[in-house]
Amino acid sequence: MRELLAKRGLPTDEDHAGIHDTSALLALETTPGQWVRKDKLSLADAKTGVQGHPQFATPELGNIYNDMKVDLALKQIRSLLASSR
Amino acid sequence: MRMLSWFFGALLLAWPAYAQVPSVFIEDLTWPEVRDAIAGGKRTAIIYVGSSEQNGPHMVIGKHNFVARALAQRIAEQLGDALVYPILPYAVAGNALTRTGHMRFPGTVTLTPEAFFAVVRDMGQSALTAGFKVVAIMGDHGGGQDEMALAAKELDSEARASDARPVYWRPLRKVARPNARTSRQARAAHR
Repeated sequence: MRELLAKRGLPTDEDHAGIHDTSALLALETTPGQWVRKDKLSLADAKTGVQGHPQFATPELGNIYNDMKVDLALKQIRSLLASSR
Repeated sequence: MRMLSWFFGALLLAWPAYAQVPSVFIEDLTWPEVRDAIAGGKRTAIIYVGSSEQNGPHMVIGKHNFVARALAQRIAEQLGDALVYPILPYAVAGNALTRTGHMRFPGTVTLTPEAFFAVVRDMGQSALTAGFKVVAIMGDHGGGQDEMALAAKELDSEARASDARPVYWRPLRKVARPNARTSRQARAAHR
């Protein structure tokens, strides 16, 4: 995911409530503003609890990110089950 | 004609769903439905840990819980033989007394590592007691990873020692950030 961000020229030091986290939620919102307050993005910085650059978050990145997590989890569970037999 | 379609509608509603559970979420099921699901082959319990913590001025506190729920549902549906326990909405997010980590901001909930470990372990024990053969512990959050691994390890040895049935128990580490260095940093920030 870090590589993907780098490839797009986006910041990669997203540790809390940054591009990853914010994108993941944008992808899941069913109504705009339900969980992400876009008008408050300009206030996001270390003093307000953010480590990253959420202004670059998009639902598209969120879908990629969420898909990755699901695929990784499935792979892990399936290989662990297979090796345990 | 209207009478007939009403009658058919009522019949369809009354028709019991033998084959499928209506949801992969245990919260949506009755205990006989859980029992029958396990007897019918649902062998995997998913315990997905979220967190209630500040997410800056732009994002709600429930973020991890909403993501956890969405991902847990997809994972369970794709596995086909899994049910999801209620999302654990609390994790280790700082120290409530010294106000470290996310506890600097109101709305955050933090559990001590001991409390978090105990809850995760007890959820897992509940799953084993119910009859699940595999319990997968997963987290959408950086804090508490060590405790999750410890809980899994403890349950694993207990399950094997009791020898009631073969049980496989594995902790799934946070999969969000494949970069190991970042994971450690994120975990350190959450303590």
